[in-house]
Amino acid sequence: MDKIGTEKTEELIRKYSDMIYRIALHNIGNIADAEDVLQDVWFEYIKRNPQTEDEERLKAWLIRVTINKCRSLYRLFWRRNRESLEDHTELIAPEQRKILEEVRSLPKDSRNIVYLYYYESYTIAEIAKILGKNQNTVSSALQRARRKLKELLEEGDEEYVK
Amino acid sequence: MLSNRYTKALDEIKAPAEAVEKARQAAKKQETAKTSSLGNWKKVFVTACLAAVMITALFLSLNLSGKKAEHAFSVIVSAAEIDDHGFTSLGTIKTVGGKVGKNEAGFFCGEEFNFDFLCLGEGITQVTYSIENASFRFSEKFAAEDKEYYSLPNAKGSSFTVRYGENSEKIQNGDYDFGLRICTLLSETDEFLSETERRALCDYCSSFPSVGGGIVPEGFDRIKCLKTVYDAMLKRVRVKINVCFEDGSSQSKTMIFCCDSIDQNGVTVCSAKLVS
Repeated sequence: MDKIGTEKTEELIRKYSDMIYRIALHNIGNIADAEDVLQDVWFEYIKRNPQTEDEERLKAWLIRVTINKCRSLYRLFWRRNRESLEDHTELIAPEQRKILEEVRSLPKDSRNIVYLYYYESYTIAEIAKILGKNQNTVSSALQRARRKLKELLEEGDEEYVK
Repeated sequence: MLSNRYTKALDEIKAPAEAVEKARQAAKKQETAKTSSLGNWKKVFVTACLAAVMITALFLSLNLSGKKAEHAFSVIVSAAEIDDHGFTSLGTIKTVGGKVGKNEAGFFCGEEFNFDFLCLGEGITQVTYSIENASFRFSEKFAAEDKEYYSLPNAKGSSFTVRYGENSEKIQNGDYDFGLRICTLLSETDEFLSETERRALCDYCSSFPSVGGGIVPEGFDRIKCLKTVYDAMLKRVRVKINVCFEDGSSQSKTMIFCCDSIDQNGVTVCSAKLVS
């Protein structure tokens, strides 16, 4: 497959930066670190240059790399002690911050599943493939998240199964 | 994307512009450093290949339309040229966002079928894709240069328009007009369903434990059931393609779809045909 040129890379950066940033915020309770993850993911993309013309596969790759970058960051002890979302009140509106904190009360894997299901509209099968998990595991995690975040996730909620 | 407080909150969260700009600049720097050493030979080779593809596509579009009309255009769906001689296989079609559920009215079942659309022809200035008995959702295909898009991503709508740039030869390069998902939804109360289709819909939905308790009739065949459901979904769908040309004239064609088969892994093969 051909190497993706600069213009395509820039287009991808414009298109998927919001997604990467949102996933990072789901995993890390810290805006500065989420920005770092955003940078790291794109540097990784430029370095590795995953050769695929299939944009869905590329998107899945970006999601996996983002989650892995968040995990690596979290393992660094000193990172865990940095300021949290509420210390950046001017950067995220109170309602959004509250909602993010509610989602962040879920286990890490569940947060990503909730995001990929409700916001990116992936099916359970697709989420299982992206995260390298069993479909039943994803389905159970989603059901637990729904019970816990009932009010947040209601409105037009229908069963997505394949 | 489902609409609730969570998704509405996330809509407002955007990556900081500064961080995005930094990443863009880094990408630019990196690519410039890598590609400047290749010289012009690569560009010449790529341009020659693109020119060959353009000429072949133009030749095919003029000769396969059946008549040498001044404004013939051909319709390509997911790499298959569609005509009115019979159904043309589109190969494996990705289905996205399949859903089943139950509300006060009864069982319902939805599916989104992913297609890539492209119109090829001389002098095209604009193409509008409209749909009946279903809706479109943009599937975020990379937009080619020199095309402007109307009714853009994350929207669900009944029509999408792409306007071509001034230099129409430039855009006849095989880049699709749109990646569009055809979104269909059936309810067991829909009057147009036959009894067989209604039964298949209910049985399919019932087979999901969280929706119908996993209760199915004897001899239930999930794939056969789903095939009946997909047939019911697609047979009423009409995609109308209206093409405008440089001289102000326009032409329309209508396309219909059908589901050929679904295998044990849920891999779906569809076909399409022009009817007018």
